[in-house]
Amino acid sequence: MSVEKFTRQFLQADEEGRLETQDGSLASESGVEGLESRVCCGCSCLCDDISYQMRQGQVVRSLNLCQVGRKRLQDASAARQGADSGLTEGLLEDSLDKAAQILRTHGPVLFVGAEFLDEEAQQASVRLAKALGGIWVPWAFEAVRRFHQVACKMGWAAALLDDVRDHAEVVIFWRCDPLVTHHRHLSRYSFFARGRFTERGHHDRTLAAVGEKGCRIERLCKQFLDVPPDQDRALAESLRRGRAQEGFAHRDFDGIRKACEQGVYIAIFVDPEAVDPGTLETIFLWAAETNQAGGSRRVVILPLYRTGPNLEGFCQVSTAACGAPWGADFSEAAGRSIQRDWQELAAQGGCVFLLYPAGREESRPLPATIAGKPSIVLDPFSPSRADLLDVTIQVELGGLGAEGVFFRADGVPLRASGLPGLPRFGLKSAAEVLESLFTRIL
Amino acid sequence: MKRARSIYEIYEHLPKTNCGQCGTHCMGFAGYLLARDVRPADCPGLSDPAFAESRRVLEEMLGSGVKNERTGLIVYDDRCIGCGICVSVCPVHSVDHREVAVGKGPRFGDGAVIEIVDGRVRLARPERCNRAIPSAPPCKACADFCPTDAMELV
Repeated sequence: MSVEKFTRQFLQADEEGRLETQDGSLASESGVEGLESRVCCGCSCLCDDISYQMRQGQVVRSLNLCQVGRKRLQDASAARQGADSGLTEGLLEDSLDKAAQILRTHGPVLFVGAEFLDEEAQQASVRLAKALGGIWVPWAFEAVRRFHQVACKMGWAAALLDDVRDHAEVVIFWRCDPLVTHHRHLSRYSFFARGRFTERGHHDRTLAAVGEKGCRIERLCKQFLDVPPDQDRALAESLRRGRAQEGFAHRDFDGIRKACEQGVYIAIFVDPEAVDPGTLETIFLWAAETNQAGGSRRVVILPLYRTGPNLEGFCQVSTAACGAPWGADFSEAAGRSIQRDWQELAAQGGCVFLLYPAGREESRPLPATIAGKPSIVLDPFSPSRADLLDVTIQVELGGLGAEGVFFRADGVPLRASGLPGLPRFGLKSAAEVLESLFTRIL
Repeated sequence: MKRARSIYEIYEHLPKTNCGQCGTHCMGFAGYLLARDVRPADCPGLSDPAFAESRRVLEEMLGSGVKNERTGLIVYDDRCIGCGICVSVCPVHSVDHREVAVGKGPRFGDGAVIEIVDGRVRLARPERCNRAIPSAPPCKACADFCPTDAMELV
C-alpha cells in the first residue's frame, strides 16, 4: 500500500500521539511515525502546532504549515539530498579552513542576518564578531532601530500576542500585510482566534488596515484606508484626537474613528520600515495618552517586521552586548551601538559573513556596496562550496534538523526541537559551525 | 482573472445558439457550468475555432478545481497560502475542537473538517461539514473569509 493511500484513510492518534488505523495494523506496516506540536521557524509567528508524519527519515506529510513554512521545508529537503553524498565532512572541513582564512585576512567583518538563527547560534556569532572586532547587524537594521528609538522616546505600549487574542476589539495593521509576510497571524493571534473576552473571535472585533489598494488584507477589513504614505501622520493625528485634522479626509475614517472610540482594547501592528518616524511617534503618543488616562481603555503597539523568525532574540542578545537592540559595533574593545546607516556599514566592511543566505523571500538582496567583497554564507538550502574568496557552508535548518530557542515577536521563548529521526548527513548546526570557526581563528 | 460569480457572466461567453446538443439551452448550460456539473469542453459550440478565446476565458473563470459533491466546495490549490483562516472560522471546529477555536491548528486524527496539509487547504472530512447535513442551515464561512479566493462553494 502506498504512503499516500495510507494517509488518506481515517487515522486515529492514541494518547501519545502515535498513529494507528481503525484495525490497528497498518501503521506499523507502513512505518509512518507522527510528530506533534513542533515549531515552525519560517517567520516570527513561530507556530508551535505543526504536525509531521515521517517515514524512513523523510517527512511525508505536514499539518498546519503555511506556504512560507512549507517552502522552507521543501527547499531544505532538496538541499539535504545533496548533502547525502558522503562527501559532506571533508567539504565542511575545507570550507571552515577557507572561511577562517578569509575572516583573518579581510577585516573588518560585517556579520549580517543573525535574526534567522536560534539563540545559541546568535550568542556564538556575537562572540565571533567581538573576537574579530567586527560589526554585527540584522537585515532589518533600520526597522529595529526606528521602532526601538521611538518606543524608548514615547513610552512602550507592548503586549503579548495571547493578550491581543484575548482582549483586542479593534485590530489595525498599519502599512503591513500579514497575509503576505505572516500567513497564519490572523488565524492564530490577532483576528480570527477566539479569546477569553472576545469569545466569538472575529465577530467581536473590527479589522482595519492602512495600506495600498489591492493588498491581500483589504478584502477582510471592515475599514481600509488607502491613504498615500505622506498622509500617514495626518491620519495618526486624526485618530489620536478623535476627529479628522484639517486637510485630511477619507471615506472610511469615520468608521475607524468610531470603532476606536468604542473599543476598549486597540491593537496596532506596524511595519517600522514602512512607517516614517513622525507617524510612529504620533501613534505611540496616542497609545501613551490613552494608557495613562486611567480606565480600562488600552492601546498596544507591536512591530510586524518583514524578516527573521528570531528578530526579538537578536534584539535581546544585542542589548546585552552593547546596550542597543539594533546591532553592535565591536571595532573598539567594548561593543557599542551602531549609529551609522546600513549602506555606509556595508561599504566599510572588508568581507561579509552572511548568517543566512541573501535574496530569499524572507531575507533581503545584498546591498550593492557589498557585491564583490569576499563572503562567507551559512546556508541551509545550498551545498557547501569553497572558492578562494567565497565560501558557502551548508548547515542544519533551525527548527527542522537543528534545535534551538527562538523568541516570538512579543518576547515569548519557544524551543524548536527539530525532528528526531531525520538523518543529519554530517551537517552541523549554525552554532556548531560558528564555534568551530571561533576555535580555528583564535 | 476574476472568478465567475453569476450565470450571466458565464452566458456572455457562450455561443448563444441554443443548439441543444448539450441537452439544454445556453442559459441552462451556463447554470450547469457555474455549478461545475459540466466543463466548457462539454459544449460542442465552444470547440469551434471562432470561440477559442471564449473557451479560454471560461476555463480561467471557472478554474481547474474539482467540486466535492457532498459539500459543493471547490479548492483552488494554486491560490491557497495556508493561512488557516478557513480552519479557524469553521463553525464545526468552534464546537468540537476548542484548541482550533483559540487559534491552534488541529492534529492528525482530530477529526477536523478542513485541514492545512503540506501548505494547502484540504477538505479532510466532508461528511462532518454542515453543508453535508440537509437539515443544517447553509454555511459559507470558509469561502467567505478566504483572502485569496482559494475556496468556492457552488
